[in-house]
Amino acid sequence: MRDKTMNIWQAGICLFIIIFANKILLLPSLLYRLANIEGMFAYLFSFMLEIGLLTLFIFLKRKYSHISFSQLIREKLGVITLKIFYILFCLYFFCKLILIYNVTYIFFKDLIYKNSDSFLFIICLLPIMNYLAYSSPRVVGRTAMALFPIILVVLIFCTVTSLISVHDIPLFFQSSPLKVFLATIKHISSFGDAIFLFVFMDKIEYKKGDGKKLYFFAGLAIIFVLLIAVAFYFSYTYTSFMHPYAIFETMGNIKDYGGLGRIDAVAVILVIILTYFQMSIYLKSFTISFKEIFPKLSLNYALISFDFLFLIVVYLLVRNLERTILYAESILPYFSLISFVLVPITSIVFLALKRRR
Amino acid sequence: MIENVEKKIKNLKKEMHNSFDISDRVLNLDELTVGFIYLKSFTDNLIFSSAIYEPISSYKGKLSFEEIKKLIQANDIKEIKDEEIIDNIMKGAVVIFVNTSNKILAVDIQKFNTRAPSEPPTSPVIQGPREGFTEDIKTNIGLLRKRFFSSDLVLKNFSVGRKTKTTIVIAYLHGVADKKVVKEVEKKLKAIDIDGVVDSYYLMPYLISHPNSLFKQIGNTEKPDIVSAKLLEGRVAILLDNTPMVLTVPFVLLEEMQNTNDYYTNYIYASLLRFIRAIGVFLALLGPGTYIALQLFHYNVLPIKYLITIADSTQQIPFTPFIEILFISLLFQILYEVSLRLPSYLGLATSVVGALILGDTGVKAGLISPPAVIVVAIAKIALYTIPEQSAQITVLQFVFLLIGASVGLLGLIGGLIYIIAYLNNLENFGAPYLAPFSPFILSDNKDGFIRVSIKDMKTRPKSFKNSNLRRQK
Repeated sequence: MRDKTMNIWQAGICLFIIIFANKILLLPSLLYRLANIEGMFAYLFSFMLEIGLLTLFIFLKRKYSHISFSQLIREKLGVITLKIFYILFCLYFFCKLILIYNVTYIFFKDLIYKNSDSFLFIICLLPIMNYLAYSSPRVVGRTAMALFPIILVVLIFCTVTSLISVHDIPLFFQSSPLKVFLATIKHISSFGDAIFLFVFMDKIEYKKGDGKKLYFFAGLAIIFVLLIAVAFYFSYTYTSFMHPYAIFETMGNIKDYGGLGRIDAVAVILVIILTYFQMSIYLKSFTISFKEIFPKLSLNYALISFDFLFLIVVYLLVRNLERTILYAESILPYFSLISFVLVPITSIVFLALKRRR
Repeated sequence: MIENVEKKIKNLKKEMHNSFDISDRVLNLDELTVGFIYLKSFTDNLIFSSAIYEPISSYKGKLSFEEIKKLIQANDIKEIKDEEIIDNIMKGAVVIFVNTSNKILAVDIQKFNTRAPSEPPTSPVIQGPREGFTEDIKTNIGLLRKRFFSSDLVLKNFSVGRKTKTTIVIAYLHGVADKKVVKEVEKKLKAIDIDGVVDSYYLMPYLISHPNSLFKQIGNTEKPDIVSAKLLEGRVAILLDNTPMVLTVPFVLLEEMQNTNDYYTNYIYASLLRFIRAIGVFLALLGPGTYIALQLFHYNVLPIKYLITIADSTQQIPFTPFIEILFISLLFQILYEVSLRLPSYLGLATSVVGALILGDTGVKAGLISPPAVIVVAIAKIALYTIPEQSAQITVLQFVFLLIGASVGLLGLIGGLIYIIAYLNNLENFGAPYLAPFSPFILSDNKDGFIRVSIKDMKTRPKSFKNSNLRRQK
């Protein structure tokens, strides 16, 4: 059961969720703080890199449709390189999970759980994440597929209501290209999510022409992120940096809309669903990477190891907005080298080797 | 050659522990002795006299075994082996043997008073057929046969239960049902080694892949029109003697959202009803849990007017919101159980006492708040938008109540995701439990949350395997 694969639609939905999820809360505000309204260009640059990563994946999948990324590394670069790669992957996914947990914890604590302890969030998130990570990729894909209509409807609702709240046009070109570049670099760790596809490579059914479907879902996610960022910047303009939770804040602008009441609560539901999925997909990626490092250990060891580490790190590091931002801007960008440097270069090496043969 | 008929009868009776309802007759005709043995409680005595005993006893001439066979005026006559005698007697046959032959005859004249097909209480309809299955398998087969004047309706029978030897019939449409599914059903049923089955529910754990799951994984109905529709979709029906409940496989959760009435009414209205049913399920599942979560954790999300109303009505309540809702839910469940088991006139009185007196007095005494009563009442009524799943939803309602009270909205959504993931793990006879939603099958969604016109349903469901996809051009 655990080895079953997911189809391309399910992979596309997972890609959609993972690209969209962690860019609509803190990121717009943080980018504004660093690069004013031009923070939107940071989004564009990072998304170009993301699409580049996706293109590489599709290229690899087309060339080596039935083998895993780990097999490719093992065959072309040897076992030691494989271990180093997957240790880095494990670290990357772990750090991403810590970042997502931090951001959403602060969000939930601020907005819907006044004075609740971190323990409450952990006992909600960990069992579901563990269950989904323990299940086969097919179950993860199907669950994402079952919830996708709800996610999409809520997202369209949020985007439309966010755009309705726009009442001003901010001044552009207040920031230098250098600032935009620095903002991009500092928050590059929020991108590169398509990396999970490489870990899932042999667990995704792929037929000729399926690449378009992946591009479609990635494109859809990017459009939604940009629309929400636009709605946020255009709603709060010069005070954007003071409003940390973009999607919630834009909807909060019109919280008593007609007879609908507090529609901003809808954004909370969306964030909760996305958080569960995003974290589960990353945990699944972590366990797959863990299994590559320790092939003889069962999946349970991967999950137990993760849970222990997660609890320790969460207990020591998180639960503070400033510390989270510092962690995201100073440590995590280095891990993005895995997404945007290590994997692309390796892929190019594979392709070059194939061409030479 | 059976030389001593009386001795044979005596031995047979001894083998059957001399039960009082075993009846025997011995007829001495010149050199021929004919022995009859049967159960008087389970055979038609009138037919026995007029169609079997009388023609043989009044025959003028020399009789042989073959002559006797010709004289019997019954339809179901067969020659049986010695070791099959007791089984045949137990199934209501008259067993006949003579002293000049070693051949044995069994004449099926089983008679048992059964009720006539009537509208089943579990699935009443506003429009459409009102016939329901009965406890008699022959009647049930007849009810199916009269809906298919085609040899493609295949019926296979065998028995299950070492002691009860209950008849099971598998029904499917040749050229429509998938052969592998039929074989798998047969294999699973034949592998059952139990002393007896008294209802089709006994068979369920042997047929499903997750027998310990809370969720129903096999379809069951008392209505022949529903079984016919399912056979036409390529499913396999399992009929068991002594129960009106017929099982159908493969089963997907969507079947519970569909109701017979949907197909006998306008499809747009039917789609609206399905949508309402889906809302009903969510209300029933999450209603009380969400109410508690909002009250305990997320009161700041509530609009101020609602918050004031709730605060006003709950400030004098001595219990915590969780205890309050749990108390009302338990009270409702107790009343439900009582009213279900009591005679109808007492059931009504219990409902009045429970709903009006207890509810009203509880609110006036300040023990429970009106919003809590309303929330529980809505959730409990919503349960019965899908009565077939009410047991499962009731259990989950209590689980979500606990989750809502302990961790709030995050836990409720997490629980919902867990259930969806769990249901995605379920697969029976190759049918994903949540199909056609996940995996998404566009053509099957024509009869999903919305229903299109029958004319537009060109294909059979793709959610499970069948031999012929096309239903109409």
